[in-house]
Amino acid sequence: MIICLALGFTALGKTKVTVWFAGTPEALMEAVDDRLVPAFEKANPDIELAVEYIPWGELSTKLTTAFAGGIGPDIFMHGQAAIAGFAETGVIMSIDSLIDKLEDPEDFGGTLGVGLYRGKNFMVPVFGSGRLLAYREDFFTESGLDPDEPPVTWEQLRAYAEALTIYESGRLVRAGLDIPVSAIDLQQVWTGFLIANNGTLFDNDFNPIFNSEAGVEALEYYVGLIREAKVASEYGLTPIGNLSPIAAGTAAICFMNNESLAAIKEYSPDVYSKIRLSFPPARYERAGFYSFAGFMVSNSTKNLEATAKALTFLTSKEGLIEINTALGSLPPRQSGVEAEYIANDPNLMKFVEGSKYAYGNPNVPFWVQARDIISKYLERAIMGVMTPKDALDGAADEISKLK
Amino acid sequence: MKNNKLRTLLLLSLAAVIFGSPFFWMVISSLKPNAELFAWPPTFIPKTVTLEHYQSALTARGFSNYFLNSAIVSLISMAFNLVFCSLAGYAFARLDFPLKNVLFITLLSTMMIPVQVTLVPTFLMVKSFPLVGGNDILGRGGTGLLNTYAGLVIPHIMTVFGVFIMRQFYMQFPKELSEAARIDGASELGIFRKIFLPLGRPAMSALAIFTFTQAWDDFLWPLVVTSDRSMRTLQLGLEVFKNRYTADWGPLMAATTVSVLPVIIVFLVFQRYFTDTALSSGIK
Amino acid sequence: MSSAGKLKRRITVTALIFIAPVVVYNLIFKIVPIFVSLFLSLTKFSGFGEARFIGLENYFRIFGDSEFWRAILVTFQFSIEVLPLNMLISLLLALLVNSGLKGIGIFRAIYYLPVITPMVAASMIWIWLYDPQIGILNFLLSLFNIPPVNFLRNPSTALHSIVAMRIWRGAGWNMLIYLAGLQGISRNLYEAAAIDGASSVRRFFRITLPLLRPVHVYVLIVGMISTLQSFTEMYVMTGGGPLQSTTTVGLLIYRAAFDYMDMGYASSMSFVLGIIIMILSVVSFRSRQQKEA
Repeated sequence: MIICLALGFTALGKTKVTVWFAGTPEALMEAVDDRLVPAFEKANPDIELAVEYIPWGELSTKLTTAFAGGIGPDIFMHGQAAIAGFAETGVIMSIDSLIDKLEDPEDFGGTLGVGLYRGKNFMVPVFGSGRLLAYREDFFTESGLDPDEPPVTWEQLRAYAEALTIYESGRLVRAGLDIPVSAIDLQQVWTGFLIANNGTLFDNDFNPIFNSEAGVEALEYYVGLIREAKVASEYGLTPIGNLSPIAAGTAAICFMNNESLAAIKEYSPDVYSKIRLSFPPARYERAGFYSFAGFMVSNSTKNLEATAKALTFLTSKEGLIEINTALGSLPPRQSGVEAEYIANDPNLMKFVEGSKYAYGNPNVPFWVQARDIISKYLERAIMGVMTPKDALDGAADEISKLK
Repeated sequence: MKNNKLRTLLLLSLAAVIFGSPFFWMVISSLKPNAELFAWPPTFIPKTVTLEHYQSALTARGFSNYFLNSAIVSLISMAFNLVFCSLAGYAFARLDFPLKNVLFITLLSTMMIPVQVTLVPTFLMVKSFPLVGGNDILGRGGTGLLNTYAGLVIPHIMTVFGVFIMRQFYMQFPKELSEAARIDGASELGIFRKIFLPLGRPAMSALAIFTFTQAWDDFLWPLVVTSDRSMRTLQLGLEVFKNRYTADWGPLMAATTVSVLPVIIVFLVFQRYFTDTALSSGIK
Repeated sequence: MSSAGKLKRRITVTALIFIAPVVVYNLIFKIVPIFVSLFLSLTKFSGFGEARFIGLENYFRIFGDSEFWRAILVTFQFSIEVLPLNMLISLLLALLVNSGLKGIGIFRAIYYLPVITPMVAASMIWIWLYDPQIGILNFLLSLFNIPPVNFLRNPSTALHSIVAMRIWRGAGWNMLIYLAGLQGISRNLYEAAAIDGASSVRRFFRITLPLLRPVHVYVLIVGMISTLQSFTEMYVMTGGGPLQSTTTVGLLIYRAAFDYMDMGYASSMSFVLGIIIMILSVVSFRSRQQKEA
């Protein structure tokens, strides 16, 4: 404590910039505390970088209380889905003026656009995660399918899944296709089918248009997989801890994100070698869900110049490589793919490659609520409580009331 | 008589299996290497026993600090509650005074508003506590009781729920007990100290265990009230092992096991007061 | 003043001194925030920036919010299913461990373990338990040729499954309270009854149960408050699904406050819930008071 007091005294006269990271893995804390922060403070002796790590699940609670008390951070990390809400309520400022201060902004390519809301940019992406189609090559072989020829079209996906599904005396022993049937996952994966069918969630004025013909078709296909082809249960499959159904052998194909794959490598290593990745199947095009988390700058930041310096440093090529290596995640910068941890991992390279089919969450006001409403109605269609058309119309209706 | 004992033992063991197995599963898991943790079919006796998770957990950044902080907060809370809740509970149970019931029901009602909404106002109060943490007399300018032990214990001391336990417990004794002592000329404080304090030991043990448990297990309040990593508590420390979509289950199980041990110790220390068969009512 | 009057005054003064710390403390740290929340319930407040006064609009909105009333039903159902079983099982456990048997402390600790096992571990284990493909419960069912039940994902069974977990988790807690209560009952009373020739069953129903009444009141009221506010179990185990069958009011409040940034609405929901709980508690409390008188 005495040391803290002493440090406190020496900090007098320094500008303090607070940065909140989302997520608390040891590797990340090590990379930031031991390498990034000292490097920054050495290069900027008049700025003190105070870093905090907040668990993902509690980010919103912590931010709400801190800002309510007037002690919010200068920079904080959050998922892109939160941008609309924060921007609407004036919590974050637009970073348009800070973009040319970043190191080589062109290097970000398309990912810098993820933070656009109402024409202004609010987020610098830091790390990403994506979903690809994952399948068990041993199950493929068992069912007479060629593991080198994964399904490419919707029809193929359904046919393959049906061939891979195993029922024993009426019990579902192996689901041909593990697709989500509830909550956020459902909305994310189904949207892929919507987009692959040339549909979109919202128009430019934030009106819901997912209940178009394309949407209804996409939902009918999705529901059909479960209720007609019976390749999965309407109740879905749950991972136990880090044991996902595909690793437990209770599913043959699934839409998997790179974190879960990394967990399988660690916790079910003998299964890991049997899992192959491919791009999501197409109707008119392929579509895979990718999302980025990034840094946002709060409106209440006291010293914009110092904050901008911190932002530039943390999102520099080197900074992002440190962060992404620690997390094992997808880098937002194109130069980031040269990092060792990616170049040496063919599966991660596949995720990087798959980003050309990426779609993300739309930045509309009330996104979090809209997303939950969409999920709610999609679930009803899957459970057979509503027809796909009624479900999508119902969701669009309820969302319009939010505006 | 042997049959009775055997039957009791059987029941005890059956209940132990039902209530204890998840915990024991957790402990067993913490000793398994990652590759075996989620093996299917699951192994009850680990094929390989490893202490690597305990090593990662205990050497994780700040772990010993978090442990200490949790201990301090929980012990302080326990002490405060034992003193003040027993006094208040006794008074509400056995002493007559105006507005007694109204006051008690008002206190009870504070338990009825869910914590999610009182979180922000309470946080603001703690932050604006006057004359501490750089605040002026109106509570502005600094951070008040944030990042302090005082701030951390605030929801756990002098709890209504503690008063409630003690009140109900003290209501079990007949009025004659107090009256006889008064006739003998004892002072009010003396009656409490000499008769009811000793009698209160079972309830106070329960109160001690509960307060310690609640303070130890509290996650939301420490999350909100500390920004200084050195002030974090153990439950926050457990979050280190969780990621966005997955978790480091091995070290998490180990850390969780370690985090449960102090509460078990407190429990075992206090629970012997539940078989203090020397208790008697003193009425002949 | 008469000596009776002096006594009365002495008692009153002592009582007021005894209760002062607790009352003052809770007035400051519990009642003030509640009033602030009450104020917030009359505003539109995102948690950031300004709180805009909108009068009773939030309450009118609750009136027409079918999701809220559905959640009230779910919450009540949860409470009604949990409480009686929880009280019964805890009491039985307390009776079981209320003995001087050597090593009984170990058993007591084991029964208390669910209370202190952190949610992250307990939930994972119960999710495993309930799993339709690789869970133990379904494995047992299959031995009797019963088709698998997806306990947590089937709308007809989801809430009951969480009820079971809640009872398991809370039994040890109330066991301790009943244990304390049982200890408070004078041994003399038991001995007197035994000499009179009363059997242990009669002793239980004629002496123990009635004398435990104040403890019952506590367990009932605190249990009611806790189950009616519940949200952690639902949040972790099912996220409120499937088909909102496990969405409690507590969950709605949490979502409104922290996910949807609608603090005002969250506060108003809390007050409606709080008032319902208060009415129920006062009713239980008063009815017990009369019985004791």
